[in-house]
Amino acid sequence: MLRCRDITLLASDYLDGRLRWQKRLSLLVHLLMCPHCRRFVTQFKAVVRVIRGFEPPPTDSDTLNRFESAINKTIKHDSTK
Amino acid sequence: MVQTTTDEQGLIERLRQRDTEAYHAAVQRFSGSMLATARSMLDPATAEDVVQETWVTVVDAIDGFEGRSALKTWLCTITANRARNRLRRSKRETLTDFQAPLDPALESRFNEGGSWIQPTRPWGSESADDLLSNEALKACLEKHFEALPETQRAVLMMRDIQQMESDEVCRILGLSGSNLRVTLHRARQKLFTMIEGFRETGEC
Repeated sequence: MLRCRDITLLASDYLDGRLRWQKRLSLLVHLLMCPHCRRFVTQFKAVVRVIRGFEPPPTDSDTLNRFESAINKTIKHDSTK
Repeated sequence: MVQTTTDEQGLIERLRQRDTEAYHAAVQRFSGSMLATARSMLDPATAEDVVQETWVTVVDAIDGFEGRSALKTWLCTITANRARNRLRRSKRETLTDFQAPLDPALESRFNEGGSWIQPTRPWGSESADDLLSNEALKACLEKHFEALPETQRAVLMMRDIQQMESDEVCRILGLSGSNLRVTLHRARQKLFTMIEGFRETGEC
């Protein structure tokens, strides 16, 4: 029988689909009976969605050009060896 | 196990021949992930330096690339190793901040029998869009994201934001599967308790 604390421990594995079926079933049964954990999991899920919605910082073209220049310099240097 | 696709194999061959067009394509395609990897451990300027160094290294190292992982994973692994070396040099925290699976802020809310003594209060709106439409909360979240321990930040960045595969992230950061899961869950719990606090007090 899972306790409420176990549900908070398993929340990520549950949301990421990483629980084996017996564990998943126990968790679902607990959620059916426990409004506190149901709320926790619903709100935790919203937080994970928020995190996934973050945009990685864009890469500006000047930076990429600098990388390319450094590569080209190395290629040229190697070819004159 | 060879994971490279034909398209990628073609690119790798051209990189080995020092084809500048191929490097142009590779820089455009992979620099974003490499920068994200480095930025999860270092400040933005140092992260760019590390990625530039990595690209320069790749010109010679690509000959030894055996294709046992995808090219992106290989590039991000080199980037992560170099970023970690920089961290060690600057004597900052290293990638060893593994902790108990439950955040202390949550742990204290259960009794000895593992039942809630202080359950989560309803937030009113639970959709991610609604949460993100609050600019003050978004700014607070970004601040807390930056303040996470390096491993937690790196794992969130790679798994949740960049949606990289678990295997890839483990290989890049040198973590076991279970360490990755614990670290990811700890990072999410931290941001959860932060949002919860913000919803209740309106303060970051």
